[in-house]
Amino acid sequence: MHVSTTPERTHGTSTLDETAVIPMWNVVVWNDPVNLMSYVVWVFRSLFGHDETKATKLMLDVHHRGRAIVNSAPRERAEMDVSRLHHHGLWATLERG
Amino acid sequence: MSLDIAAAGSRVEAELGPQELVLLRAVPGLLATIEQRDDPAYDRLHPVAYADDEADQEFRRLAAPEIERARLADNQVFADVLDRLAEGPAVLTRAEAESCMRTVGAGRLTIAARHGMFDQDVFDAAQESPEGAIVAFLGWVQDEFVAALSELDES
Repeated sequence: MHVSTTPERTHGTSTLDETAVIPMWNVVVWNDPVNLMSYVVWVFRSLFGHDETKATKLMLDVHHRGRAIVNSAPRERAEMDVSRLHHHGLWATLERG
Repeated sequence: MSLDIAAAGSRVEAELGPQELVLLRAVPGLLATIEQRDDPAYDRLHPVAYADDEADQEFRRLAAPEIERARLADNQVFADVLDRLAEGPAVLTRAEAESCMRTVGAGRLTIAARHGMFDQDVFDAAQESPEGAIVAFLGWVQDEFVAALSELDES
């Protein structure tokens, strides 16, 4: 069976064009003096599937720069991420990507 | 002080001394005192999500009840685990250990918020105080859970 990898065009519009305009939202984690560095790394690995190197880099960005974007996603998904981060006690916000 | 929390395959083995047990048993009660109004602990556990007030209120309306339910469930698991640990060493599932880790963390945040530990200088200065000592103790416990959970088998 042949499967085409080329998007079908209908009236000049492709499915790729439609997905490309979905606005993305950044999930931002802010520094706080209380949460442990080891815990923050664990949360980033657990919630976002980052490997230890990337999770540690993000944690250090939060620690040294005050904030880091830990994920970008459509709004509903980004809100779910922030909700889960709040459940884990991290200070997380949303901003337009 | 006696505390042993370690990965064992896909489970976590834990054992606590009597002093640690007494201190940790205060955490569920502490979290139960959090008030929605005029309590910095509530604000810290439900931080602002959007810079825009209207969007933030809508997020809060939808997300806060679910977060509260999850936190209450964690709290109950933690209390049940402490009951088991009062009888001796216990084996915890990954989910139980995660609930304990989050609850201990919520306890730290609650104490820190109620004592104004919102920036590094205040937090560092508070380390010599009784509340700072409790936050440090809970940090030790939480770090033990983090280490054990980080070493669990994926199965």
